[in-house]
Amino acid sequence: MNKSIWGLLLMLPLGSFAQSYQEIAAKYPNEPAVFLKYHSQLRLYLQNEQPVAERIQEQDLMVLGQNNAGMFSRSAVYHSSFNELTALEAYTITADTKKKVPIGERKTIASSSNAVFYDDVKETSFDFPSMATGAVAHLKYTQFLKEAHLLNPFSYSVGVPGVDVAFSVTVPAEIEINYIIKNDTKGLLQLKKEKKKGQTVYTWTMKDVKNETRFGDAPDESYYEPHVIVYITSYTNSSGKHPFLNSVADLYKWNAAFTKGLNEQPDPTLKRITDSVTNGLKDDKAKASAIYKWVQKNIRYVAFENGLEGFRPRQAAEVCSKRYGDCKDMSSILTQMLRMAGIQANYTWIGTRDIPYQYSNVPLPIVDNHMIASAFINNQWMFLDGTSPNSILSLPPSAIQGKQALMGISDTAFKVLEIPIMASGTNTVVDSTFIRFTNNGIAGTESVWYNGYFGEDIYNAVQYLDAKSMKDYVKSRLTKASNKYLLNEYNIKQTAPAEKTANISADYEIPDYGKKIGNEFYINLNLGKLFNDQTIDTAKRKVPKEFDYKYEITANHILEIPEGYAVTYKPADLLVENDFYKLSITYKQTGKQLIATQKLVNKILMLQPNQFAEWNKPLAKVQAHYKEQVVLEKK
Amino acid sequence: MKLSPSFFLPRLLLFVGLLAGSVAVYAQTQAQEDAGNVQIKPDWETSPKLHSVQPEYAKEAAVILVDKRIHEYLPNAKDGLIVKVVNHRIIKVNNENGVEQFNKIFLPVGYDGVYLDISARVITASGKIIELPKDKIFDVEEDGRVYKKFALEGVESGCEIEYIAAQQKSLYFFGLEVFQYAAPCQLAEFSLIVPAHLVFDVKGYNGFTVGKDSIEGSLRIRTGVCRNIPEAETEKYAQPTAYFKNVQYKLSYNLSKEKDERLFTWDQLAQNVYTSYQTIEVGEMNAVNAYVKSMKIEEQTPEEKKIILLEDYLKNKVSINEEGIGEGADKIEQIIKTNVASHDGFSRLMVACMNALHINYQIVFPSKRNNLPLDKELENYRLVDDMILYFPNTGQFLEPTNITIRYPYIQPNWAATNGLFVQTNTSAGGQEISASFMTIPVQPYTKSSHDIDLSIRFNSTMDSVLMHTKQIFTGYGAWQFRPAFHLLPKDRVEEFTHEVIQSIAKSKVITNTKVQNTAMTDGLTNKPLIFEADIASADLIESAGNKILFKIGDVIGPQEQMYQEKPRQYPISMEYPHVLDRTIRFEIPKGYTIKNPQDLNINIVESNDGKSTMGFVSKYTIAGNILTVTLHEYYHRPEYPIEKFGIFQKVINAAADFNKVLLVLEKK
Repeated sequence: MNKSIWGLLLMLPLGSFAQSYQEIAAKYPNEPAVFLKYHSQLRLYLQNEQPVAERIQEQDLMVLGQNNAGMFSRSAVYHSSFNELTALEAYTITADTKKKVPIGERKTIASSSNAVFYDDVKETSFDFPSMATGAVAHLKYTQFLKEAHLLNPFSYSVGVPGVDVAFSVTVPAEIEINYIIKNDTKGLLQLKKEKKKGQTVYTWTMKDVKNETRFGDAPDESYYEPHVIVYITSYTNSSGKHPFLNSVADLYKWNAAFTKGLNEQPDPTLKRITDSVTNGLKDDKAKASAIYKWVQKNIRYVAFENGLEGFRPRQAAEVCSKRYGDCKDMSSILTQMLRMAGIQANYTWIGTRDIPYQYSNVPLPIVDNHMIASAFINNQWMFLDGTSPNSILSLPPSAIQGKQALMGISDTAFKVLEIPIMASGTNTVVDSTFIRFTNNGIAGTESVWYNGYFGEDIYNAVQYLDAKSMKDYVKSRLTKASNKYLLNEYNIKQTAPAEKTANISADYEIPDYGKKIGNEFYINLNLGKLFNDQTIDTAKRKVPKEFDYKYEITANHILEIPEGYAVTYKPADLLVENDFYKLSITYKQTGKQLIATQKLVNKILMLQPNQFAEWNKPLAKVQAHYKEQVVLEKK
Repeated sequence: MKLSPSFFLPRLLLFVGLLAGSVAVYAQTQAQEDAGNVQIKPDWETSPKLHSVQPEYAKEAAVILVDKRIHEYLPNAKDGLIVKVVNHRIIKVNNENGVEQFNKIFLPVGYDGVYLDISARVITASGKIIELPKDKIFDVEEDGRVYKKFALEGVESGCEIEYIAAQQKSLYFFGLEVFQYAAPCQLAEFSLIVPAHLVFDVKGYNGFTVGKDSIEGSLRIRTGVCRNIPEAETEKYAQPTAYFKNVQYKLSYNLSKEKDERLFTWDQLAQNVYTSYQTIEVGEMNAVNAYVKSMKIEEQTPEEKKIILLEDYLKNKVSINEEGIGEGADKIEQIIKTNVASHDGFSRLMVACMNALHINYQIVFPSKRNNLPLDKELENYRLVDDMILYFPNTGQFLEPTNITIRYPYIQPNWAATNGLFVQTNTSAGGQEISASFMTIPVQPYTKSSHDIDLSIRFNSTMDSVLMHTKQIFTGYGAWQFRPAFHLLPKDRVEEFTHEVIQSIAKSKVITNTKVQNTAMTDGLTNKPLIFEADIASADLIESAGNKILFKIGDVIGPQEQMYQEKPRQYPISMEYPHVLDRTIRFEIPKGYTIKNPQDLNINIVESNDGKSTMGFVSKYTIAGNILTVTLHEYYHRPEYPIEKFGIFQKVINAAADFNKVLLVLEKK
């Protein structure tokens, strides 16, 4: 088991164990462990006249499984300059004697992450002693949250089941808050609001929390697990009442502070580059495309997230000379170069699709995790994301489709825009595979056209793969029918780089596919079954299914009818369609050719659990159809 | 006068019989000379110029032009000697993939290591030099390893990245440098510079040539070189690490003391290890005795039973991490109290318990097949790491710190190899501890099986296959699954069981699931781990007009294939020898005949003087309405030389070919 996962689990607060090990084990017979208590208390207050917070987490994890107590021994708490660890207490309550045995030494190291090259996150780890079935690991720690704009939502998804999971917020009279409850579709959250010593305490409790099973193609769990978002709307200090985060305008004010003074100094080098990149180009679209391409090609993605520096884009001149930057830096240099080329352009904040919120309903810093540039071209706003190496103006990265973007216009003016969702017809694959029978299988040529996001994938591969890996990549793209697909000569053409259209053509052989017996040939002409095995197990899956993008795939399998043979059986055509997809399979004979055409259209980005039954309905028919082979007989 | 190669070579041609050997000698000499001519100081040009890349590497994403590593033993007022390790590298970036690979550099910090200086720069394609600011070098720890890391500025296609990193380490008389990475290297150099009175054995492996000692003033210098090192590649069924180009060294003589006494021998290591494990304080001894007593293992219990009980007890109870947090995890008394141990602490605890239980054992350090091997001739203590235990009375082994395995199995990469055995010889003169290199045998192929037994018929509507399935695993075959039953929560066990079962049926319609002999300790008597279930699968049948096509080949589960391979680089490594016996009984539906049963016959076997050590044979018989197919696939050895790759590939593909067999059933 990944120790960091267990580490992350260990992040909350509280009480005494009313229930014995036997009772708990009987209630959770399948679980390796449960949180008897998992409480997080957030205490808001003013420090130096500014709102800050303290979070006290307290949790009791009881080991239930046999033989695996050791997995729960090592734990870790993560912290950074934003949530400084100020106190930590941990001990084990032993299974047999119920004695408290404190942890020994702890070790703090800079934590590493794959996505971010450098941040200031630290990991404090320690071992719970004497962990055994029935033992309880108690952990309580306090963090000081100096930046009250960045309060994290509290999620009731705590990794293992929680007997008693609670989140509370203590609010003094001089601070006003608001809260948003997400995904509590079953109404399990109980809110208790009480006054204590002039402060208001909100507590949201949930009993017997069980997380949904995770799936690889599900969206981020914040789309479906219950959580509570709390934010400060205003505070009152000696100089009066101040709005804090009450609207998109407040959020923008906070964001805009990070771009203040950005790119105000002229930079002759960047100007020279911009001029040379756009030299001779007449219209804004061509200029913006050229600038986009230059940044994508020359500035590498390296992310630094060190405290508030993690929010502040660097000067375009600096990004240009370093030749690397993160999304903010790419936004900075793109915006600056566009402006140098006389195109109206702005720094723009956005959340990727990992985040379920939009600015219009959650006006908080948690809504975004990314920065891009917006450019006004031919009377419309277009979006440039420098971290995406092969995106083009007409095709913003699939990961931000449909998301709201917060575009800064001046220190105070901003606009919320929406990134378009690309239609199915934009992202297409058209495969024409010619098939002839050989002595021991089939062979032929294949030609596949890729457009939209499919095309972008091919361009990424060509850009990053070396010659040796390229063949493997092409093979993985083209392989169908059997793992005995042998790729011979192939050719990749970047037919229209400006539109990211590409073509791969190849000669192939598939020994042992198709069957000749006596006077007959049998072959399943769905060499690649585009929509096989798509039934969703509704008993097991309770979480949405996410798609990267909408698309359309057409596969033409063109069989050359051998001399002296005739088609004696071909399956009936198939057409199924609902709100989510459309699949058709048709067979057409023209002279010496039998053409099977499969066409699949995916119409959605997200499928909700209440739509699964509808999704599944036509699939039995599809499965049955895929089992039908064509028969050719000697005349 | 020195003979030039062109003069020398034609004369040698006269000695036809000696030719091959002589050229090799010549090549060796040239390489030796080359190795001796290494410039021992790093060459950090003040005005660096871009280098050209050898044509054969022009298409690589990046090429390491120079990789120079210098180990220097320097006097230090406080400690006597310290070791300074300098690495100088120049990397040519050829394309954007190369930029991505090398614009971020991670430098490992050695145990006890401190970086004295790191200088890094980029020479852009246009020749501009961009230095890395020192404050942009960060510390990071990943999986217990500490690194310095930095992102270089100005990296672009056609540029060169150059850095020089000097690290100081506390005195240690062993060294290892591996020179094979994700990019090819044009020139790799190694230098060892030590005070003249210290004599090191230095050895290059797998083609890295090391020259002879030379004395310069008060220094003894040894250098080595290797050119055109290909990038490290991965292959199926291969263990490439052992073949990486590397240099190792160790101190052998101190001429200022006993100049004939060889230092740091394997015997010495054995004595150190023995002493270290047997030295136990009274308090610890008492704690161990009480601990062992609490396990309730009787003194008269047979030795093998004691071993099993002890191992299971400790592995189920103690939380083991490679590195402990704090010293307590290394200390026996503390571990007994907290049940938290480092690998080292846990091994010590196990040995102490064995002593208390009077179990006869030897400590063994395996020469791991997935790592650089131990060399009998060059006693590099750095490669001595994880220990296993050998029991002379049973002839079997135990791996202490791996909770997923039980006696007599150890992870297979640590078997079928040599090991350094710490041996005790008691004689009248007392106890003598010595080291011997002996084989750690792997469990024979007869012990490890992956068998399948299937009874199959069609349902009445002839559109689905009903199967009664049994998958039977023994030995290492069972080892891959048993820990799941031992460690996973119950609902995950069920899911896991279904995954194993459906792998042979392409169906999730599974009933009457039964799994037998799942206990970790069932491995000892090699009780088979059996997954039994009924499966209904519609996916195994297709139709062609009025004919039924039964995809019988799929019922053995998807097989690994090697249909389209790049030229083979490394010998074959099977992990462990094993046999796969599968029996398929198929009830032919009434009124039908099978048109192509002969497709079931496949026979690919290695023949080697009448003995076959690998093969795939499938045959069928039909009796009445029952078709019986038997498949026998076997790999009797854990390793095969590269010359056997052709037949090996055929055997692997024969199993994959069976997957494609499709029976055509026709109405009579």
